[in-house]
Amino acid sequence: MRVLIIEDDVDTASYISRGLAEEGHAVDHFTDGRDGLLQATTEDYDVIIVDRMLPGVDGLHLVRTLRGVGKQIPVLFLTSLGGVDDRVNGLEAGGDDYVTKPFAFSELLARLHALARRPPLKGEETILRIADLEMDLVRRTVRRGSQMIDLQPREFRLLEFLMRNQGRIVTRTMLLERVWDFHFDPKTSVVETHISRLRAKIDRPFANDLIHTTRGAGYSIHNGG
Amino acid sequence: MVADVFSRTAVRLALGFAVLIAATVIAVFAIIYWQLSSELEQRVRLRVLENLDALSAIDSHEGFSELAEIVSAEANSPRASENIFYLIDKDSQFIAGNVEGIPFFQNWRALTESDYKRLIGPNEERDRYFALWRRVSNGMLLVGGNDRDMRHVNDTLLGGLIWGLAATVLLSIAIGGMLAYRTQKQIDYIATTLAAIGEGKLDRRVPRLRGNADLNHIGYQINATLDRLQRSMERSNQISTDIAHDLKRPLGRLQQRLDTALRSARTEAQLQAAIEASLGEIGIIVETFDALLRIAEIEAGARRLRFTIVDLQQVLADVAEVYQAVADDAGDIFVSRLGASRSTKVLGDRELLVQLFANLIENAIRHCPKGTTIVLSLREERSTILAEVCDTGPGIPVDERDKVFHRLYRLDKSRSTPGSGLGLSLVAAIAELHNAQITLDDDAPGLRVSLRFQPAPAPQLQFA
Repeated sequence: MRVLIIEDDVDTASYISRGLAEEGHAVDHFTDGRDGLLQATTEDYDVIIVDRMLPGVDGLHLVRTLRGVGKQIPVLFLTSLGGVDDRVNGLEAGGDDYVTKPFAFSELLARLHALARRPPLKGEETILRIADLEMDLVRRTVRRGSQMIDLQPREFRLLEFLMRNQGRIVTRTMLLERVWDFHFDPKTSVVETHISRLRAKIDRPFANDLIHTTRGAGYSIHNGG
Repeated sequence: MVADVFSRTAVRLALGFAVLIAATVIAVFAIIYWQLSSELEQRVRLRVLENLDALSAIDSHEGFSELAEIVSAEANSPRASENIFYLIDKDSQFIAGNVEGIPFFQNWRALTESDYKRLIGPNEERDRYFALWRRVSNGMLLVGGNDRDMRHVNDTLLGGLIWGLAATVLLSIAIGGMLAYRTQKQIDYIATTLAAIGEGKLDRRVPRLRGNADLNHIGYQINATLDRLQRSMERSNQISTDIAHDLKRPLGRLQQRLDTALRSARTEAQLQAAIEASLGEIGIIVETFDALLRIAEIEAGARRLRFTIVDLQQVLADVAEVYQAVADDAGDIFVSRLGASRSTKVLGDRELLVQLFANLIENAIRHCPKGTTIVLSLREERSTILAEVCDTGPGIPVDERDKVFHRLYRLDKSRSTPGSGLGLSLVAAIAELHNAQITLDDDAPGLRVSLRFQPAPAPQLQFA
């Protein structure tokens, strides 16, 4: 994965680039908004990380310009502003996701993976499959092997999100935002509870587990391992 | 110094009033003077006409010589100084009277000293006479009446005016000055109090004085504002202290963990465990800051700009769906009664409303013993939409019910469970943003949190 970081805080930038390099990704870093924008329009990247507050050209403006010239590269905003307005403004300007500082690297990495490998939007993709698990998004049915599985609407959404990101780790925060539309950190085990209910239906009656927990990072759905 | 005194509002007002009162008094006197003068002049003319009529009657009934005799007698009578008489024959020769040398004129004329020559009696008073000529059988007769009464009345009036004016002006200056002094004293007190507060003496207050009710009202308002300011400053000081205390605990634990790891961790697994635990402590610190920033953002009120029509019934149903399972796993009984029959739409921020109810339910799950029944309900109550979260847990003592909304406040018995003490402050901030009234009651046993929302205004009917 080729990543462009546009971030004026050198400590944060080196924290991210070191982490990404260790994971085997190629990273370019610019501290100035204008330079970063030029780089983003002339080179090809899988994902761009943009700080909201930048010297030269600020993050919102940068992304708007990028979208204006037709670049559809996924953009992840880094922001120290945790307010809703900042989040909504970022997404409205054309950002695809955001992470609030301070953040755990695993959180950032999971989101970058989800963005970079986001499949192109295909309208006809109505059936998601992994191993013998099959999800029909139109009929709203789930079956594993020959057995139909009955899911609550929210369980269906949870499974769909996991399936769309199959093979990748999704964090607890990502699940809260995308499945439950929770933009705060619950003090009870909301995610764990619902994952465990889903497991009871998807995995427990069957021989091999598909939903896996990566300690300290999140969950993923994949075959084997 | 003098200029300073005159530039003060109170002094200027007092002097202004004195001038106004003096002008009013003078105007009233002028009107009285003018009316009285014309009335008195009218009386003098009547007197002259009566005399002329009487003398003309003598002339026409008893002849010119009899008239001359009577005029002569009148001219010599003691009353004569009030009137003048002047009788001449056809050749304009003097026949009788107490004046002479007055030429003929038509209509009334006011004769001054230079117009006539007095023959009989004193002329000390330098009287003015209103006089009229009239033809008689063998010549002409002039009769005039003096304005002495008029002058006396006017003199008296003028004296009254001067004394009255002096007294009025002095009195109004005295009263105005006294009021001005009092007002000035109150203003000075307010000014010095505000100056002292500016220097940081926040406990100073404007004293209440007798007198000017308006200024006392202003003083009262200033004091009330200062009370609020002082309370809010004390509270924010308290919050700073609380934040410091609250952050010291995880920071202390963090320090201990890292220190222990440095001294005694020998294996990679031990180091890993120490680092993970440390990150956990940092997470708690960051969470506290996040919550504080979020409360500040909500209290700033800017999120009202993003308000949309939100169906509370839907919000509560979503929240209930999430927490039904969580409560089951925690060994509690969760019941939702969302049976409102009318519209449950409010103007609000869906995300925050979800957080509000999630917070309340999580509080119940975390702070109540296992087996607690938690009821989430929504119904209408008169014109409001009433949402309630009730539990059968230990409740909150009456005297602590207000305090739990304060930032970082935690009940003693909940100190042992993890939490920032910010959950209910956040709930209160969200409720206030939505103009929802929040109350805590004893549910006997347990706690009942009630939120009363105003329904959203009915949408305008659109005819496409």
